[in-house]
Amino acid sequence: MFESTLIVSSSNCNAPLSVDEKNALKELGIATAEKPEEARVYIDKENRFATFLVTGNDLTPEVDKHLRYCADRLCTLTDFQFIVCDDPSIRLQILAHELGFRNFWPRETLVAKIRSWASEQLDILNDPSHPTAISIRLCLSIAQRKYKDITEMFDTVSEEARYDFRIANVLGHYHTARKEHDKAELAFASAHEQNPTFLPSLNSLAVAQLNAGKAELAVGTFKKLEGMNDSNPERKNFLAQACADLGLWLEAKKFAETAEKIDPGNSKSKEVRARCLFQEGKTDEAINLLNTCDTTNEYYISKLNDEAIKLSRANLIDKAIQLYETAYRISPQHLKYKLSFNIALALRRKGDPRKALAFAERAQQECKIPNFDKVNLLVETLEQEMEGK
Amino acid sequence: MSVTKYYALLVSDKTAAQNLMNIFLKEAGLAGFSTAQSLREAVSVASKELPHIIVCYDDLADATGVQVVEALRKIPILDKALVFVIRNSTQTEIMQLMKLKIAAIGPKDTNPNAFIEKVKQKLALLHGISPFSVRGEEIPGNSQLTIKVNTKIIGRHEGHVICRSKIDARTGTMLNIVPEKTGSAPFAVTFTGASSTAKGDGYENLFSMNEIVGKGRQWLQENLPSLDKVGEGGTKKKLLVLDNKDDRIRVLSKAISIHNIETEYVADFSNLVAKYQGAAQSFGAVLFMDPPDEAAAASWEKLKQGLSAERKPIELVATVASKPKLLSQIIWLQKPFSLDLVVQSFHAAVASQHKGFEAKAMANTTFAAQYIAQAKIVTLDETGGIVQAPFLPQVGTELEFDHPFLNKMSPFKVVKVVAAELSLINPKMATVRFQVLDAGFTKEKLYTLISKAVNEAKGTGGLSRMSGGSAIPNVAGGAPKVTSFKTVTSAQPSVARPLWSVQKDTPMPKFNVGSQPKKP
Repeated sequence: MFESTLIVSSSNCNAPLSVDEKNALKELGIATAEKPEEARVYIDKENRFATFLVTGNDLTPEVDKHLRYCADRLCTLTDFQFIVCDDPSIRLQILAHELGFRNFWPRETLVAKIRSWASEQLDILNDPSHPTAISIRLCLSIAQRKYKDITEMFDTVSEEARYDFRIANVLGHYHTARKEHDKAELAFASAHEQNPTFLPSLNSLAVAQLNAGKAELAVGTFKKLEGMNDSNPERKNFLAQACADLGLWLEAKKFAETAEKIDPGNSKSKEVRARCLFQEGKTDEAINLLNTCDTTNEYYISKLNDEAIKLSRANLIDKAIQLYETAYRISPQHLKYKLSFNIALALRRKGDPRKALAFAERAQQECKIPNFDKVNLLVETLEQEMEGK
Repeated sequence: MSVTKYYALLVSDKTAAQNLMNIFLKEAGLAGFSTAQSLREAVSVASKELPHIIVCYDDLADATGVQVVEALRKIPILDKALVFVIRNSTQTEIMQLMKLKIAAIGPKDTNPNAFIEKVKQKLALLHGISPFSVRGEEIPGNSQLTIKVNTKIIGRHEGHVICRSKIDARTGTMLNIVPEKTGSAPFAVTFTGASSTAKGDGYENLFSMNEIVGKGRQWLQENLPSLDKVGEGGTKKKLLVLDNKDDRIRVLSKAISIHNIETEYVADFSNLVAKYQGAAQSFGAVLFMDPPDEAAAASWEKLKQGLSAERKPIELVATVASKPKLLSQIIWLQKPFSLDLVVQSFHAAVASQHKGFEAKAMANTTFAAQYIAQAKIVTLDETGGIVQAPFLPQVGTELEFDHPFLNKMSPFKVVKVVAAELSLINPKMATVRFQVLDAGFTKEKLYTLISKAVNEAKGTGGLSRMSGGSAIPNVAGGAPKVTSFKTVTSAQPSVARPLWSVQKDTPMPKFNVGSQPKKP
């Protein structure tokens, strides 16, 4: 257990760990990180799943980012996440509650308390059938993308998930990773029903509903959470996305704009705003906005692709190609071939087989699916067309 | 504070010394003492009662102080007792006594304050455990043990399972519960997080259904009768909050609304009194976001005193104290606390206000159960021992132990709690002193049993020096040889040099009672 523990200090921490304390922790095998950025390396590479954040009472952007990182990475192990401060501000308490951090510890006698806590946990971890031990194993498998481990014990996990909200929550993440969004939705709903005070399940439920194409349900769930804390930009972006899917463009724009005010430059907010601009027919503005975005997700690329297809069908082929190229720039690697393929098709429609062939060949190279007939067929056709000319 | 009480044996035949010692030993933190007025009596009492400290005051009629100590030290079991000698001794005698592992030696005119201080120091070195103990780490196997405590599931209310027991399960530690359901095999349910309220001579432990993990969850949902039909689905209870930080309370109210908690808030006690007086029944609890100021809270206290038991509020009070006093109507929120704790505590407060609606009907259905918790043996000793347990039991609670080594020793199967306190370092854990129930086991017999079993398990053949013959040395045949008194005068300070310093300017009387008449 000691080797799983990590102590992180934030820069607003009033009482950083002393040299003696650090040495005592080191002797136990507990790692200490001076900064949250440093902590990520330990969490990612060393299986340090039990974390203690020694911090001040206020919620700073650094603390906010660190807590979200831990919540995202250590999805259900929030019982092993501790915030060490004397009198947390209400904002810090709310974020912790939302992310499932349920443990606040005072700074006083921290090292002795950690020692005692860790030796208590050893007993639990030494019993592989203990629900907490199962949760940890599953959670680490999710974090390390070892889905095979979960697949192998799927029956046990599914059974345990009926009686343990943490395991139900992990199961939801497992299905999400496998893009089984309907199953993920069921698992998160079960986790939330079992323990309604554990809010990460509710948030994940809303995301699963959105991914499963149930935008209306997702809006309802997100709004429930929004009623509790309306200063979460991530949730506002999800809400904006869900509203856009439902065609509620005004509302979508409003949520995206508010999210961007809280977190300026957020790509997700820009994405939804760009979709709203497409809707308003302001294609150039939308493309310009998208050009300032970072890499996006699969879901959004599919939306941009739809927009480009619309433009192409409306004979605005140059605009469509421009949008495809923007989408190509921000697309995840594994989807790039689709966009190259669509650019090739658009150029062919435009009557430029030479350029089209170049993009088709690029698509051929980017495509990791062996014998992807559509691309091969297009290349063949374009070559013939070129020869014919 | 320690869960272990220390006892002394005073070896003296002077009544005045006994009277003074009564004061001094109490002052030094001893729980009580026995007296022995002769060498034989000293040996007999000491070997049966195993006193933690032995004070030999002056010489006896039948033996010198040195002889007394020699006789006591011949009893192996008393090896670990702290022996204090108060007498005027020569340099040779001091050397003799030192060889006998004396805790301290002082002359008859020893300053009582210095004596008390010395006893306190020596007791502090015992770290709250008996010198006649075997430490948990020495116990074969390991120091982990399973403790079972009887409880009764009495029903459910407002999303909580309510059990009645003699332990304070508010510590939030996992407990397993095994209902003895007729016609069904027992099953385990893991509870995490609990809240207790003192009710009558025990506690009501409230376990949030949200935190229940395990197959038994379904059984609990389907089989447990509701304790209050009126309350369930009836008027929603609100949380009344006293907080003078307006922005904080607005944000808090909004945040906890997601858990169906409706709040009303006031900024000061006068408004609190007015608000509560007007609608006591609609509030499930009153939350104080900061520890209330005693003077400012006077009007509130007065109001509470005038209210009937049913209208009295349950208070959720933020505190910085590490071990706040357990009161039936107060749920302490130890700073720093999470919002989860506020939410859980409010729901527990509402759940605790059940009316026991079906209690009569339930009398026919028993839901006897056991909490099963993992604990740690700290020591086993002459009266029982100390364990660290994840709950705070009441004095008198019976604990059933399950440990491969202890299972072989009948006195340790079921024991009784005699003292318990929460740990300062880890408030989830309590240090619990227990004593064995079997009256047939004297201190000497029990300690011999433990140490012998431990040593046998270690393969050393037990405490051989304890196993053969009587531990009491042969003092038969009347009084031993009486050594003549040597008069120690102030001119010979170096001879009777005390081993503890004498503090001056002390209001305590001198500790010299040598001039008292001897017992006939």
